[in-house]
Amino acid sequence: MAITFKDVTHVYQADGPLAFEGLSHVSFEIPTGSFSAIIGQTGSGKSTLVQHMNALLKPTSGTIQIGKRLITPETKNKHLKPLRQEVGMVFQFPEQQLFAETVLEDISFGPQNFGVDAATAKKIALQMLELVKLPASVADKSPFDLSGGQMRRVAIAGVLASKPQVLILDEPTAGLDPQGHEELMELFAQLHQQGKTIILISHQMEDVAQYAQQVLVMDQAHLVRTASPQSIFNDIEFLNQHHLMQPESTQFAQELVQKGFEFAQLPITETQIIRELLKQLGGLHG
Amino acid sequence: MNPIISLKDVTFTYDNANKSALNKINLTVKPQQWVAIVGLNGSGKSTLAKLINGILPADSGTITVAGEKLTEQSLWNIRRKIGIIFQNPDHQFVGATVEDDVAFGLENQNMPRKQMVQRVAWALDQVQMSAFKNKAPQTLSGGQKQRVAIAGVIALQPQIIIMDESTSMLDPNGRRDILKIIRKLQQQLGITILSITHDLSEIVEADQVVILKRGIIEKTATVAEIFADPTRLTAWGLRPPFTQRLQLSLLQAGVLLTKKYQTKQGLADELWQLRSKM
Repeated sequence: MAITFKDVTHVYQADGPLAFEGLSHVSFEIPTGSFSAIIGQTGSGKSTLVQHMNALLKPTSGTIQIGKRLITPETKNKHLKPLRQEVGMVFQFPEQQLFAETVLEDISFGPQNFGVDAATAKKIALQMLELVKLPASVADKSPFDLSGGQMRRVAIAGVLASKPQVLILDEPTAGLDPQGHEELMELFAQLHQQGKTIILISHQMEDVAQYAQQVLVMDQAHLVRTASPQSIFNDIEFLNQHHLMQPESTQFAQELVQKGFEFAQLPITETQIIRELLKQLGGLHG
Repeated sequence: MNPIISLKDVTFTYDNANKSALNKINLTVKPQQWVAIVGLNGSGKSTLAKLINGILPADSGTITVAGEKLTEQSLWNIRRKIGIIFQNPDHQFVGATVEDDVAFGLENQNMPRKQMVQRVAWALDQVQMSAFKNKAPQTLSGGQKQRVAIAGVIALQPQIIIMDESTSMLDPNGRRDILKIIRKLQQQLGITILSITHDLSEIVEADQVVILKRGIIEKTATVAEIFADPTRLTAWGLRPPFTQRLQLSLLQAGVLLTKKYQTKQGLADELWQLRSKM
């Protein structure tokens, strides 16, 4: 499902003395089936931006096209239920939204809410548990007896159970250990390969470099650039200007350049830098 | 020097769990130390913090904080000595302005107004947020919010600060600022720091690293000792640093690196020498 923002502005507390702009004249397009990342400092407007994608927030001005639906400042909440089923949102710390008595009930709540019968919803919930790599034995436990990492998976399974076409992920791996982090990122890559449109908010430039096809850079409520990760992470002046870091591989490649190495383009992932180094260090290694 | 925190044979099991979350934990923390607590998700890190603060009661064993044994009677007194900075700064605000927010804890302690005003100003100055005192907390960036949360904690002048993943939501610059401020407070005010974290840049600040694994302390060591054996790091919920990962991949691909380099500079030098010989 493609998403198109046209000149979208969002003003928080528009009528009060504390009014401030969360988004300012933002326009971009996210193609169907793509993996996009949104980066920018904390407070730059990333979360505000994605909350417009399933109309949790509505634009103060401008329009948003999501698939066949058009969201305008006048859109009423009444007709938004199908949209919320199609656009799944994993918020920061999704485990805080768990509520049911068992893991299974929690995960099957979404599908039931969107009209699936209880037996089918249960079947879907068990499939989702497997998808997020949790053992079936947790199904009847209280979600609150699980560890933080497991709770995160239950919450994500709950979003996936509604079978959304678009998946929005707001810092989905914050606070997870490295193994949990990697497993979740691989899950998202797998969902992308299956055709879902993925939108990831992240401070982890390694993930952005490795997984995203397109990167949107936010700074103080403005969208300042939409480009490939390769082009953004090679532009150090731009990154400094917006207080962003390069991936570690790119930083290290830059040190190598100072020694005398040459790269046509700076590598942005570990796979790229290793491949490039092996090439440059000679035929030894085939 | 007497330890500021000491745990003797502390065991805790959650209701309905068939295994202890923490099993016979023995730990001593010296005053003014920075201790990092690491381990996989589910290893017992947050449970440990909750026991020290008396949010959860231990099943057995004793916990002593600043010379006082943790009991139902001493609980409130001990909580005054401990400040906690949580993961998500958005959940820590109660005041309409930054200044009100920092004053909240002091109001609860019935501090006289004049002293309170001074204390709030001092705390905001420590975290370099004085210029924002009349702003609404929700208009601040994540790093700024976390600094206000720290001001709220230090205004109460605790002897111990527990950081529960408190930099994991911040961008790298925000994280660096927060760690710098915590380091300064630790040194100038003599605060003891317990940090629960997976983040390497936070772990390297520690004097001592405690590794939890399935509810027991597997190892207590210095940062250098922890990173000396990169092959163990993953099992402890840590990711080997970039240079170690790169080195390992290159060695596996047959590149003849001679030394175990810890620094980027060292590795870059050797790679350039290899390249020059081509």
